[in-house]
Amino acid sequence: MAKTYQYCVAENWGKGFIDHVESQRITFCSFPGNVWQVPAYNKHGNLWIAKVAGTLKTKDEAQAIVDAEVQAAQAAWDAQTDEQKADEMNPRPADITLEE
Amino acid sequence: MATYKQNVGTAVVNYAGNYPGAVDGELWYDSTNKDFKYRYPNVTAAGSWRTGGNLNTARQLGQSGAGTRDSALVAGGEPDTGKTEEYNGTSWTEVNDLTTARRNSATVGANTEAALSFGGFTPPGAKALNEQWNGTNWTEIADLNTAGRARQGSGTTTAALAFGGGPSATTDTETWNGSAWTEVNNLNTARYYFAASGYGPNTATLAFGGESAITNNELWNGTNWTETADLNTGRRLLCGAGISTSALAFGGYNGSASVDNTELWNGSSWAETTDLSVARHELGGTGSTNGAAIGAGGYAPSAGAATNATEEWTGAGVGVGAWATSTAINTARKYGSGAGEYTAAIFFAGRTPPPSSPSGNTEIWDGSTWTEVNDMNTARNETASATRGTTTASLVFGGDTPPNDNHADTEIWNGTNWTEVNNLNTGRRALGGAGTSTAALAFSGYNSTNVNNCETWNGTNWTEVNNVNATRRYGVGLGTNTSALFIGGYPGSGSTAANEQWNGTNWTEVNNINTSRYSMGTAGTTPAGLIFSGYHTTALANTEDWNGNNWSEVADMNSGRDGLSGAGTTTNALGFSGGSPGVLAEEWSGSSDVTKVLTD
Repeated sequence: MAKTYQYCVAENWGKGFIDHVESQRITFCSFPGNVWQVPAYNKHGNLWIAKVAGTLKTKDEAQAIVDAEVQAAQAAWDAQTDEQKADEMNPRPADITLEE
Repeated sequence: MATYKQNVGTAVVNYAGNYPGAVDGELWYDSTNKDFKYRYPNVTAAGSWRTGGNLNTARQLGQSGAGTRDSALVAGGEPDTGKTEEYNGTSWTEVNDLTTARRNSATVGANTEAALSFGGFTPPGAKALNEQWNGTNWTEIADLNTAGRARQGSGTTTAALAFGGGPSATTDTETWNGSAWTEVNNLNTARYYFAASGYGPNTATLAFGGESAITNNELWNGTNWTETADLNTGRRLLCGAGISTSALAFGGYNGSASVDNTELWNGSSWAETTDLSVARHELGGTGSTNGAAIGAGGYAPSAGAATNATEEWTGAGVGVGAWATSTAINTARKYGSGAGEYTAAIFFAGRTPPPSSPSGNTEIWDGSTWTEVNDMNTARNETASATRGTTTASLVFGGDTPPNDNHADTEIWNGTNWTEVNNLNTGRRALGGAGTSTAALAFSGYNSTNVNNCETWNGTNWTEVNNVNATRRYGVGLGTNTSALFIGGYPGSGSTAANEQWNGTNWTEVNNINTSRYSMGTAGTTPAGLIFSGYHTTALANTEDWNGNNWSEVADMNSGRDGLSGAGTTTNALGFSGGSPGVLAEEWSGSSDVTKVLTD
């Protein structure tokens, strides 16, 4: 089956990283570790990855990057005081599963 | 010569600044800037495709689909399947299958509640099958007179038209009256693997393109087919949408390659317009006009397989907005507060990343960079601000310095320093705020329990006024201290979509937001407001636009997050901070009205 998404690693430099026209044309989704998900086989997605000099990753490679970031965030959360952990607005970072 | 009042019915309003009550096209005099101004909707100059929710099952949908862009139904497909999916404008949901799995059937109907699927192919040959969808199940009803593969259709479950089809091209045309098919006058050009303006009635539709990549186009008037203006790009296995006076043709196969061409039919001719993002053929799709359509699935050579990609078409003249990434703030935080405009904003307070600590950090945005300035006197998070504050005059109130120090503290910003001023009457955190540094409003929040208190600030003191109706925390505010909104929130579990409006005296329940959540960013005022991102079981990216009466879903942020802050208007806004916590910022270019100065 054809892929639905493609993944790349690119650091968000701020203004111009994703412009309004790009955002209107394709749906972006960001993940920890500067991992970006854009539609696969989509010419506007491909052009954006080229523009930001994104490093293409397979889904499994991207998942490994995200996992490492989430595990680090979970470890930081675990190191907090019990009171901080009990804060209803401070949930433990959840695992993230990327889609093919 | 007629006066403005004689022509329009009202005199030119004299207003200091941008007149919030102006309707589209109304002229007013801005006495502050000494300009005549008018407002008009910010709309697209040309149509465009954008990515939509993916099909659950990638497949070749055989130019079939029923309903509208935001209420669409597709059924069957290749490889032979009975799978049926409904689209709600955001995502596809799998529902009950066709009774007979097949490819290349035609599907017609007004929406996801009532449709017909007829004809098609499954080995060993073309089918005359006809099935009716009642919103839940498919039921087999009276067959076509002529079995056909890749036929097309238009109309509804009680008045439909079937025409053309294979396996060898045919001109056959039949009408459906709700119980039986009747042969009527045939097409002029035999065709299959073509497309139609299938949303039209069975008395007016178009048939265009088809094997072998022809440009031919015919118009049905209820009695006869007549040749009319051809497509610009000949193709087969293309998809159509719309009605006989406003149609769209997209995708297909030109004889040597899949194409991404899209053409608009205006009732008399086809014009090339913005291409699909994914070239493909044998896709499915539907749409009510050439201004709103959907294309899904098909075979995409770039993928080397059937795709589940969906694209949504929005035509010219439609209000749209989008978020773009912007310059990051300096210090990562969430649950801080913001104020100001798109090119001149201020952000203060918040919670730093783990090990979390409250912050009094203050940053100012000049339209291109964030600059650290003097800190607040009392570091805290879960504060509220006078959302219409500026970079030279802002107000912060309430908040929390763990463990559970629910602040009544209020501080005022003069462009250089924060100064402690008189406290709120009721200390609290996770409250809502609105107004300016001299006329603010504080409402609801949390102080060992959710509170519904509302207080107004006159530049010196806070005074208790009438309470909000629905008590909650982490709701957000926008507007002034005489006209504000209190949106969403956390009642104690889950989230709420509640929305209340303040008129200077009382809070009144008004229309809810579409997506229930809390800890959003806000921008704008009560006639034209914006909320973005927030949290409900997970961080959301949704953006909604308030027009004074209702909330409409508009384009999502690129990075969904909660506990962010905002500034600006519905035309141009900023969203910043929030999430893990982080430093990300995004800029909104909006769907709302644009104010222009009248010039010679």
